[in-house]
Amino acid sequence: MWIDINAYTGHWPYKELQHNTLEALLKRMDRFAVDKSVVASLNGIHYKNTQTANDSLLGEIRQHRLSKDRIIPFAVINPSYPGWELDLKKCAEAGFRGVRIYPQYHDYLPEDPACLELVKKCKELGMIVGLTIRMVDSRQRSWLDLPQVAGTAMGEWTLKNFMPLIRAVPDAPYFILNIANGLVVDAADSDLLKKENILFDTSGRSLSFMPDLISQYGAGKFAFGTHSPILDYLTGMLRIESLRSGEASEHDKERMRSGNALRFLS
Amino acid sequence: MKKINRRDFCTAALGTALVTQVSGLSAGTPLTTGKEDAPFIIDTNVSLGNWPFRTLKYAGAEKLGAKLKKHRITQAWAGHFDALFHKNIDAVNEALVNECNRFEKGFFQPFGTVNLAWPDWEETLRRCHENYKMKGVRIYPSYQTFNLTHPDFPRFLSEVTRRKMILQIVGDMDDSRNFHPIVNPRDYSLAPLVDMLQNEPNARVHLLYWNVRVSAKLLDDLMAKTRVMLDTARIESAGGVEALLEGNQNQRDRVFSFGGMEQTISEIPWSRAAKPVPADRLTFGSHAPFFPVENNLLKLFESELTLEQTRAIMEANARKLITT
Repeated sequence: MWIDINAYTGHWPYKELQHNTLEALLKRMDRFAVDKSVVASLNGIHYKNTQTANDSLLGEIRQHRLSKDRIIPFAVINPSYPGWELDLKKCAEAGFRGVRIYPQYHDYLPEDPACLELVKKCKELGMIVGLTIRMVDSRQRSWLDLPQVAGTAMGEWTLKNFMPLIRAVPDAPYFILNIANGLVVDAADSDLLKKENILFDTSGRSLSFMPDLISQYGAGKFAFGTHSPILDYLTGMLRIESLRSGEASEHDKERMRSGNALRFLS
Repeated sequence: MKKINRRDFCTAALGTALVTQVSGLSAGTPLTTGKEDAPFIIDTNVSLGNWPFRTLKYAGAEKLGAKLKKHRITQAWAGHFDALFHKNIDAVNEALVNECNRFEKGFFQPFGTVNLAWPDWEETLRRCHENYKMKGVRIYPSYQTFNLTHPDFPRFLSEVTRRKMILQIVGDMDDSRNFHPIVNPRDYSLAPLVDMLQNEPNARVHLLYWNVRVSAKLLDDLMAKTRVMLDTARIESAGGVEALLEGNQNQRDRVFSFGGMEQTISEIPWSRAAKPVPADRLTFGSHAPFFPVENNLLKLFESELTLEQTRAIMEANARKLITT
């Protein structure tokens, strides 16, 4: 069984995407034998009022008979936008299983009080918090996208930028998604990341050396994710399937395919 | 020239249905005036595709086309929102043509884009003209990272003119107070057009959402020294169209409070021109679906215009621009 914990539908302003509708995602899931996907709306990342994107996603899921039980919606919430608490409440009641936040796109810091409050409320509601390290590789960015560019004085964000949030609310359930620019944190933060309430998806380029990471964090720390349709659909899957028997047992692989995700989602 | 009020005009020329429609701002029922010679509208400024920063109610050719038709708009010149953001411009232009074709044939006239900041813009322009049969191109300098002082701009202008295409230049897409925090369009000036267009007297340049970037002095110069056309999308204030046509000789020394400072009207960036703008230089442009189309329809009726002026702005000027 495969569960993708990092998928989207919707529009990305800076390039034309393929397979970016719910129908196209379901076709890909069928083609590559993925049973379920955690899905958020790309539209919400550039909206100030993210709730319209969440509503549209929910409407799309409800209209599509094949999506029943296969699509697990996550809401995009902007805690710097007035009314986010009501949006969160509505989303929780509507069946969203988690929240994805985009501090860079919504112009706040993860450690801002409103963000901490959002994460605490998610914890109370039993909702998972998705932290996306980056959306696109800055080397291909549009001139109108985020100003942070890899290799310059104002480099891309890394896992370190989210650590103040995790330190402040250490027991909330987190998905850490599309990890790029390394997993390097200090020893105290490393211990924090090893706790059971944090799961990394396999889409990001910093997970290229999976055997080393499994040695460091354990197979219980990783779950299949695609970051589709921005990244290709199969890299996150191949990172698990290509592990040799000496690097991960079949049991560990199954945990990474779906078991670890189910631990959070069920 | 005899002036008629909007009620007389609507009753005489457009019929009761439109009076109800315009004054009620209701598009719920299709227009049926029963008058075959009733005037119609060419909308010279609409966009297809998705606006990245909010959901637009009438996004896409099918929804927007149906909406515009209910307001007696029979043709709409369409750009594509992706033209502002994408690098692969030709793919955007092709998508624009496909999207236009999803609605009634000929209703949407595709205005592709050319980005001078990217290599091989000449080929992009050629495809717009020869492959996609576009009547014009629309550029967005504040998003596409070139100014009108770009070294290639005179050659671009010349090539567009040689191909007898319209060049639409978009001043802005959105009020700066609404900008998304990470997406900051650049500032640029339309002033270089005054000199450049004197060297290209046959150029058909059409400014869209121009007001914020055109001072009273620049507007006077553009009207006096060039044949630039303007759309109505961002003309503000009560009687805004009328004031633009009449000029503001009587108001030029009137002091307004603007941006916390006392300024005369000629100092305000988007003020009305000190001199009258001829009615044959204005076209109807709604900037739909970003702005409600009703907003610009109302401008035609809340300004006290003559029948000839109204017809010119509604349709005749745009028709002339696209056919000559």
